[in-house]
Amino acid sequence: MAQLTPELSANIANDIYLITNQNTRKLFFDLYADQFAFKDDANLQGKTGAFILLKKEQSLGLAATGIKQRKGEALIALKGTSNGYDGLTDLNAGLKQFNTGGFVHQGFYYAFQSFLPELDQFLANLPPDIHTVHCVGHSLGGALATLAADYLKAKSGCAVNLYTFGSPRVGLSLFSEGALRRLGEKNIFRVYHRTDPVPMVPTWPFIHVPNGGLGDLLLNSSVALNPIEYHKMENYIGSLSGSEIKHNWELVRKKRPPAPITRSIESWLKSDGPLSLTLNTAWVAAEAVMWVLKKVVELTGIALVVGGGTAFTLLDQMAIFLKKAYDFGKKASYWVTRLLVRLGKLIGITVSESVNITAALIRAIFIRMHSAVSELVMRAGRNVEH
Amino acid sequence: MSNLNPLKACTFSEMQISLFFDGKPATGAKITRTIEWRKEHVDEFTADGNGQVTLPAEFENYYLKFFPMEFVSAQFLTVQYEGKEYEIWNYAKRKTELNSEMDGEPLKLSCELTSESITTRAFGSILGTRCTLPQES
Repeated sequence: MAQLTPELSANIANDIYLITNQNTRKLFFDLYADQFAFKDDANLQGKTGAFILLKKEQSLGLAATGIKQRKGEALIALKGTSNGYDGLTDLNAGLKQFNTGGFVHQGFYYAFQSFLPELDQFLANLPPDIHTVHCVGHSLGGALATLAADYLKAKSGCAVNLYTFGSPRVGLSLFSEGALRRLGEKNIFRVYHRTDPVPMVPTWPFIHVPNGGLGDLLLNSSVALNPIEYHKMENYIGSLSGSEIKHNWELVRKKRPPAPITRSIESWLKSDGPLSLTLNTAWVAAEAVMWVLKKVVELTGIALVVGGGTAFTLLDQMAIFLKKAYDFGKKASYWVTRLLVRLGKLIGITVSESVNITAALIRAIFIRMHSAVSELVMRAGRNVEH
Repeated sequence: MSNLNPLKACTFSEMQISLFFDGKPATGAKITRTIEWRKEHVDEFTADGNGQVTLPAEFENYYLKFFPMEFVSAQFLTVQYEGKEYEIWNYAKRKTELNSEMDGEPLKLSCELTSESITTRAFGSILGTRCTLPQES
């Protein structure tokens, strides 16, 4: 099946930033002119192809059909915007039910709705021979590409491939699981550096598409650079620039650095060693939260039902869920307690094994954890040179 | 606003240009430079008797936000010579450092106005130009 290579998808995610200015937009068109048809006056009803600028006044991205060796394919490329980051760490930011079902962050939802009429127009005029649509984006553009890919998969009969670089989390579990099921994990290429702070926000209950598995493409990042440098497309291109890896997603998967496997997360939870909050430990803590939530569902059969309102109210629901799990039995209460002990250690709260765990305590620890991680991520952004 | 930090971004690295028309120096050619990052900046220069002109570096102040956007400074150079206009440089600078294109050295271009413009991947970005860099020629 048609796929964009690691090199090509990363270059498109980088070059799409050129579409804002009309002269540099022409550079984008010229460079990709032998693969995609870009004509402002293209007849959208025609058989030769369709092209459209998404959210024209702000140039959020473009949609175009393939030509020559890309005949039968289409491209949706989206770029980030300069505003919208602050909302990622705001627990009171609202949630919106996305078109395909499931809740997503309202900032992404509104940005997506702003170009949805153009996307629908593109879809309605897609030539019948189009079999595959590639959705590409970096940073907030990655979040929008995720929404676009899920929407297009639900609306069209086409295969849809999703390629994101340093994307933040987009939605809650129902959205993430639905999008993963609809798109299929082999068609998702979610690329991120371990120390890129942006994919760490918004914090749980937002969940990546996918979180683990074939489409979760973690790249190593050394400690030599400021973490936010690893968010830049230049460094994503650098990490994928090896002579063989740039052509082969399988090699990108194989390059995955050692990550906390189940056993090491268990060890981390059981450990009583000292902890300080860094981007790395925040990452392990997020994995541990996911692990414990899955574990207690397995042990108790209690379903975590989330919905409505804001992330703030979701933390309430999660606190009640964990409290129920804690009360259910010894095994579940053990893992809930260990999670709270370890998260408490990260944020300077001592949680004794003998303390009476209440929903209010759980909620307080999660809110403090969210604030601490958000502050850490913001600090990484502030310290950057440019 | 105390956590915002004023910085300088180089939107255009110094450029030394030699202009030719049919192999002869394009004496007195007028160069219009347009740079656009946050705001548009336009200025004009005139080539000397040898068809040479130096465009100085340009910088713009900005205030650091929590997460910096990808930097894109759009650069566009046109030359007016003997009643005709030629686009000689269309480029998106993607790094904020001065002379980021040539590892710290100023850009030295040789431009034959009658030659075709070519779009290519260059300096981690895309460049459309009818000029050549000395090491390329």
